[in-house]
Amino acid sequence: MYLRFLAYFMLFCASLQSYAQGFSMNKLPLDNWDLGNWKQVESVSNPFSKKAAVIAGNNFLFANTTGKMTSKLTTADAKVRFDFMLGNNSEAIFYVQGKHAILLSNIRPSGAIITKDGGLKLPNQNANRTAGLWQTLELTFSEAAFGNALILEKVTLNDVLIHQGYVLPSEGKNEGPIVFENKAGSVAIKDFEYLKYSKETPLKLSGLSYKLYETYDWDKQFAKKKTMPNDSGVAEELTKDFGVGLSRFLLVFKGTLEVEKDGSYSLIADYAGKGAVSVDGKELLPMIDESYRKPRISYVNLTKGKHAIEIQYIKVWWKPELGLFAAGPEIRPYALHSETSLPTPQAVGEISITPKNDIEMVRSFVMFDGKKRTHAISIGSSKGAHFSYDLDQAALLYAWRGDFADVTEMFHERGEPQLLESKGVRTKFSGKPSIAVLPDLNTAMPDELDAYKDLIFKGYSLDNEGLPTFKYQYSGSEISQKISPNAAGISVVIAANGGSNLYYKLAEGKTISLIEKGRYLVDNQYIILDAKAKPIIRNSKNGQEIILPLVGTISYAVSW
Amino acid sequence: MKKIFSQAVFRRAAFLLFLIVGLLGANAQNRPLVEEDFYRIVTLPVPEGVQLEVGGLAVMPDGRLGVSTRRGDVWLVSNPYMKNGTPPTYKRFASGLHESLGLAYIKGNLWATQRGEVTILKDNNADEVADEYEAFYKFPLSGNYHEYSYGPVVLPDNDMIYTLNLGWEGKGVSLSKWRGWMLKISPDGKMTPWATGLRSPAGFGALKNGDIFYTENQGDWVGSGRMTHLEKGDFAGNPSGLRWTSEEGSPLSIKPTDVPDTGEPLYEVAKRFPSIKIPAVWFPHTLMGISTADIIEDTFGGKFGPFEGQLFVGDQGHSKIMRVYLEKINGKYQGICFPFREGFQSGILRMRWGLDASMFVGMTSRGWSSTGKDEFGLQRLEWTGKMPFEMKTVKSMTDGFLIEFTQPVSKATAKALESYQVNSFTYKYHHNYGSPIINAKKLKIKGIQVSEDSMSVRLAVDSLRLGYIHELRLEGVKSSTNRPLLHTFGYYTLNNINSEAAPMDLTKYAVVEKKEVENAHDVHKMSGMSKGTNVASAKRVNEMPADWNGKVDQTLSVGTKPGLKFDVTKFQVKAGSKIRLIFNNNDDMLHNLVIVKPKTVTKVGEAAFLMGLEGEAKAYVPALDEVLFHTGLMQPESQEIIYFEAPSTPGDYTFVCTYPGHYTLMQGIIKVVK
Repeated sequence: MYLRFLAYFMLFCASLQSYAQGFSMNKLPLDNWDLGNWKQVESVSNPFSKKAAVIAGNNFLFANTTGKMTSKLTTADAKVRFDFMLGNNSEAIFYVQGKHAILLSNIRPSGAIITKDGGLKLPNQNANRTAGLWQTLELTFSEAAFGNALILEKVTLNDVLIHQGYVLPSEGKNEGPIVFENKAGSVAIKDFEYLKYSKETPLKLSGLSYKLYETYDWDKQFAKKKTMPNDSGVAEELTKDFGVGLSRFLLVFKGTLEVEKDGSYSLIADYAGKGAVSVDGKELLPMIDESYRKPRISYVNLTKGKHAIEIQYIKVWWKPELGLFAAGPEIRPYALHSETSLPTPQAVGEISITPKNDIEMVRSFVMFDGKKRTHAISIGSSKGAHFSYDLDQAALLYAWRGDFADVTEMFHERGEPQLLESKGVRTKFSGKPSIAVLPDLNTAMPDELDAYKDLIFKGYSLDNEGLPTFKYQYSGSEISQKISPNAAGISVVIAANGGSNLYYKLAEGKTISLIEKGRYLVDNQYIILDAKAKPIIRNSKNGQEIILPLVGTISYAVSW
Repeated sequence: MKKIFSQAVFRRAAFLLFLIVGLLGANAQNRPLVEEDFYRIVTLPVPEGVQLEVGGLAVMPDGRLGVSTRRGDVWLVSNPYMKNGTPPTYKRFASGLHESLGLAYIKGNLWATQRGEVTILKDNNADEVADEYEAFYKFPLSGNYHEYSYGPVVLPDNDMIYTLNLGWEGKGVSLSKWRGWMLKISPDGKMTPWATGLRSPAGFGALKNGDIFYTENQGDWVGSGRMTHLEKGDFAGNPSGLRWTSEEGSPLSIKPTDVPDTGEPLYEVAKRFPSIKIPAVWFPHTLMGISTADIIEDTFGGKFGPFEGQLFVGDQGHSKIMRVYLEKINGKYQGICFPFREGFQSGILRMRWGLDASMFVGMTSRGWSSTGKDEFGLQRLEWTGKMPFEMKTVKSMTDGFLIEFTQPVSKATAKALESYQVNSFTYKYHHNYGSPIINAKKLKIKGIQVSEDSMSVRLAVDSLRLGYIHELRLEGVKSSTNRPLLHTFGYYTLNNINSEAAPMDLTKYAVVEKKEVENAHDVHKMSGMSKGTNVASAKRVNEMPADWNGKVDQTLSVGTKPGLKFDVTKFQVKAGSKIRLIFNNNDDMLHNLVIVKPKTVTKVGEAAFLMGLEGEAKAYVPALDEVLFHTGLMQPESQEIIYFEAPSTPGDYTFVCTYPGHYTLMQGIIKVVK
């Protein structure tokens, strides 16, 4: 029971923690490592060949023999993040505080925790990327308040949440170095970053006074009813309680923000209604539209000493809830408000879709580069790979492995966002139309086609498994595209009938390089096609793209 | 001696006969008849795990029923009529559609409307699972959740109509093309913009003659639910869709800024600004329903009961179906709405006729709560064959109304002035959400003429007002078998007066009121829209009684939550203790809080509902002994404190909101203990 309570408590912290990520983390210099057999390298060639060519340099750390490297840095209560890459059939171990072991592997699921008895606590889902691609592990940990344990508060692998609130029994001091150990094959580590949390609370409120005004409702923009406050006085604490008895009110707090030492800090306002915060007369969080418990963060550099602070809070239709947190790069958010001013928000249970047999299709809005794609379909497969596709542009948006979809935002209450969220380890595509008529190869691929006049979506037919083939009419051509999920990723077949000067874009990225015959690395994604095919790799507005003339059929695969 | 004996025998026999007749009478006569006696609701069981949030219904000629859902599935329901007493079976025919809120069976295929597309679902290999999703027509979308798409409804000429809901950003907005419009699309995909001014047009249909009607939900520019006849180029009142009138094909050219926003009644504004199409029928908010849904016409020639040619209109929030009789005066539709059948399991969205003249009713209440408590459901409504005693039609007359009944009336009650009440009122037309009732007035009845065959009554009424809703209440009219009407009231929207009918001969049929219209003050007070918060009552004490000497034993604080809920549902108090109760209405609707005696909440709730037009002025608190204490009727975001002494008898006392439609859901218990 106690543990469960603690877990909830930590979840709550974790949700605020994510708002503190805007602070840049400290980079651990390469010379902080006691390297052992590990080498500093510039690049490694094809990870699929047994003897990858290694070029020395200072880009990352690399090992292709077994052995450990250890940091001089020690951590107790911290967040760490690093990128790693594995060769074929490789496995390494990452030790938190030199003793708690987490697997980095493409033989077993990366992120699995090796328990004391040698067993594995598996991640929520397998979020591995394929060999030769950079992956990111991030974890936040702290010493348990009840002692003799380390808590892995939150672990994400490739942006997929794989552990939360996991308690590791531990003896002795919860502090130690970071250790990587190569166990098999080859492994590379780069961009190791960290934040060490302290228990300091260098920001404090003092000398607060409040003014309470009754306000009008929404139809009058919650304006004050009178210019004179209904009530005012000294505020011992920052709390919503000064508004008791009024159904609509504005509370204005003025006082001093005492800063113990110079530094960069954040102030996080978490409330139900409307709020604004300014420091030294500068509006850090301006008054915006009302919202329910969506924490807002502002970053500010403050010098040691006293600063004037003003906090405004407007209660609208929700119950009054008001909180203000302070945080720093290495200070977890802590409350500046009174304990009772901010209750725990009501959370919503997840609604998810898991393909049990064959194929699940879901049409929904899908968020892509900050914009909603309104005519999108997502296909989930029991084979473990899934994708989202824009039917307006005949464009892949995302593909992912692992769990399929979180549809809470579609089916909870009215489902106002109407968004489907992918759940597994994901790769992103350009989201631009893949088909175009190019009079010559100097013509760029379009960013968008008119989905009502040019690229006409005709629907899809399903095969025996339930997998759709998308059909289009475009520039005198009948086009069909079928995308099949499989254990390794997705395979794509596109066919055109009629039309001329049609081209198909397989992928676009910052850089495209040939890894081995038929295998192209496009940023952090592989495009695999027939070794005999001769695709055109050319420069594009955003880097490079890989295209083929679309005559008859093109087949290729994507893995990540 | 013999005589005495025979007398005794006779007496005993008479007593027995009296007993028997009395018992029979108790069965056949004394039990009040209810809706269920005439129209039976049959629930179709839904398999566990199937989220049948009904968006569309399509009756198939092979006896199956197609159901599309908000979750994006299309189910084929076999044996939906449950004719052998066996449950129906469900097969998932299609899936992955984007909130499919419309479904139709057209020439061998199911057509489903998704948010952004009309899709023809084909089953080419006859395995009862669609294997081809043919994109028939695409609708632009902005990404706003409130951009729902509905249809198709097939017209007699095989063209189809679709409607596109406005988006919502604190008000109705047309963020993408043709939002707020009805579109007509031919079978070969040619689209004609048909009419606009629509806000939330989930329910629409065509009469047998092809005339198109749609229902509208109360909201911005819409004072109350209503039903409008849409002809090509009509503008039904919400200006947002007018944004697209410069687009090719638009049949009208007025702009959003042309529309007057004065708060006058819509009928008055339409006199100056004739582009506005006035509704044929208003459904007064909460008095009839709160969110109108589908419309269907009874074309069964009596197989569904006595209402051939009339319309049935669903209501999502009140989980009920209303009945509409339409007539054409001066070439324009108008008519009356009546209550018809309530008690459905969830919020009604779709209604379609089955093959056997029964009505399928498809429901969902997710996100918009309803009095039917289930999250979704599928039911069928059938006529039991019994004839209800109802007002069958109400027709406009030069000097009043002609009311036709389904059964003969008792002449004595039908001639009595006290049997009737007539009121009229209207709503504001403005950009605000909803409207108060305005200009309410009690009308004087001048004459009553009962027909020879007792099947109809003419009322001559003073001060008919054009464009107004006329409330007819016939509480006192009994059938010739002395039964009350199954539904005693209706609301007639009087846009035109039928001047062709000869006036009533008042020398023969005039009636005189015995006393002055005593309730007129109440009704007038209501028109001032005090919202009834000032209802004075001994059961509502807002100041602490002086003899409490400033001391309260216990303070109870209760608020409201969205979805018709109190935020606290249980209190415990000591018998006889002095209580201060703080009621915070932090919802966006009107609520009250009424404390009633144990196990009387249904009686009080129903009585509050029956208060009708007078309810609002009396805060929907019925004058019953069962009501112990109450607040006023509270505006959204207002607070009231009442003081009372807890009852001396221990028990579970219910606190309830008696605003119409709320009492079944919005309840809590004050447990009184020794």
